Amino acid sequence: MVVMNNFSAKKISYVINGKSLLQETSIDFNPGEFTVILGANGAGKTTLLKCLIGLTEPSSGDISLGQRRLKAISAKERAKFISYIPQVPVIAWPATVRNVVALGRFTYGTMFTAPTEADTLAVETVLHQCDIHHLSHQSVETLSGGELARVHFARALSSRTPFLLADEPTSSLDIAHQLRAMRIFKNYTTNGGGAIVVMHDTSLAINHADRIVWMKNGAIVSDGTPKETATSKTMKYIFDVDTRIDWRNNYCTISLI
Amino acid sequence: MSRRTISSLLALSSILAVGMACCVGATDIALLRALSILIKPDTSIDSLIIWEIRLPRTLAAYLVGVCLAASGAALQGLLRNPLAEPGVLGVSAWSSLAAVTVIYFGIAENWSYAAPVAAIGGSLLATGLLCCVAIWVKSTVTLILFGIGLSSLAGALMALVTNFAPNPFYLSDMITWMLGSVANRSLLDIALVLPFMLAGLLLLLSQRKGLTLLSLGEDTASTLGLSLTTTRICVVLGAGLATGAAVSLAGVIGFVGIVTPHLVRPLVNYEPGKTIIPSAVLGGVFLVLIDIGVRIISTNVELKIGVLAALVGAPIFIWIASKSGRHE
Repeated sequence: MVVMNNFSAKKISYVINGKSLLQETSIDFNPGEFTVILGANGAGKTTLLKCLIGLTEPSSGDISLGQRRLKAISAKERAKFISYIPQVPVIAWPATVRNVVALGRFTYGTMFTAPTEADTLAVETVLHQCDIHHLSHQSVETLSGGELARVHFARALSSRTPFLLADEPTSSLDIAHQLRAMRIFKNYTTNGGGAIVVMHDTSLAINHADRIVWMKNGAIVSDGTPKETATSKTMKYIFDVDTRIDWRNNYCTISLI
Repeated sequence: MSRRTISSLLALSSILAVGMACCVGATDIALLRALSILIKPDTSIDSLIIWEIRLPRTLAAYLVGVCLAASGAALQGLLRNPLAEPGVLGVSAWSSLAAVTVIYFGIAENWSYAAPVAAIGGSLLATGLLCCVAIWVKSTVTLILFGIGLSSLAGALMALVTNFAPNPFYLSDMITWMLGSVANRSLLDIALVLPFMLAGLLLLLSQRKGLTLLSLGEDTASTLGLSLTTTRICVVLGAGLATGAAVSLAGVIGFVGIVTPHLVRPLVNYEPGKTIIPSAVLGGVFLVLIDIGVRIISTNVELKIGVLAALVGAPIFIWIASKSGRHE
């Protein structure tokens, strides 16, 4: 993994058709940290993620990776630092699981070279890590939602990037698979990676993330550990719901009142 | 099927198809005799028939098939749509429109290369426009719609030109062009367009990995390090050159670019990049077989290769379309 300890956005704004989706948002991300971005629909979470990965160019402000500005880094080089799982991942053709996962290695090859030993090793490792090795030769068409989600995780992890961005990767998963996904992120961050994940399941996020970034109307309103920031006051402000938050043995329960 | 098996089968079928095409016609020549003449030409009539008539015609059919199928396979990968084809994006239509226009103004009478050059020009014009649109818009759906619009416009202009054809001879010339034919092609005709074909094919082949990566959609592909703009430009330009050259050699021949990639895809694990070469070779074989069919089915008026190809290809197109509709 490439050493990279500075990934930050400075005062980024994004305005489209006169509507401001991000307002002078500044944030730093650290390696080894599992960050979850929470907020109501339309709070600007996906826009922030898309700006961070370079799919959307902010109207103003700067994003930097290491000592360099994100804009100045080529797509191919950027792919070595940040991987991304979109909200609605696409696999256009019924390819095999292994082939889809191996696409995560694109940035390490050239247009004409065959996969190297490092590529094969990385693919093998993530296939095991995401528990889909037994599906390697199956067509993605035949997989269940949970299996497919793990294929996308594996594809993103196979790039072996220091940062991983994921947009609602757990939204279509059952509870068991959600927990499995959390373990995959946890595993990634304990190995030094920085995960930045947009989620909707508040209690899942609070109980697994190292850090929660709360967003509303295109701005960050609270940022810190789950314990510090997950309060009924925040919940009221962000989602406009009345909740009771109980911490017991480091486990948080959120009840709607 | 392993890659090696596929390659050997394709190579074998190419040789057989070309060999057979040299045997079949007004006078039949035995396969062994034909092969020996192909290896070592002599002064016999058979040799003359093969080298002056059948081989050029067969080569033309083969190359046109290769270009159309490679363009189809690449465009399908780029647009992630099994129905994409040079025809769909209007490249073939503009190519033939340009050729027909040149015939209309009588330029083709004075300069025999006018029509081929115009055909390539027309396809480059269409692909140039598509290039601009490809950079300008992000969505491939918009690109397909633009292509369809382009194609319809060419169709309308084509109708206009044929409507005002000055005399029946022009009209017959234009219609021959629109129906597609490889009869009476010389090796010189092929040599003229070959550089454009090769340039187009090389551009398409250079984007194989990128096309496979595009299976994941444009956003993910670009976050994985693909330059979308480069891939789009290379594929659109490559398909434009190859298609324009093909149209200039044989007129409009549809459906080759849809049929063969569809057959090849399951054999290569649905990897768009790996679909191009086998599809191209199969496209060549397909058109050579169609051309043999044209010669076997003897009619009073010469049956055009484009007509027979469409008669075979269109039902397959409909079948694929209805099948892919059911999937979603």
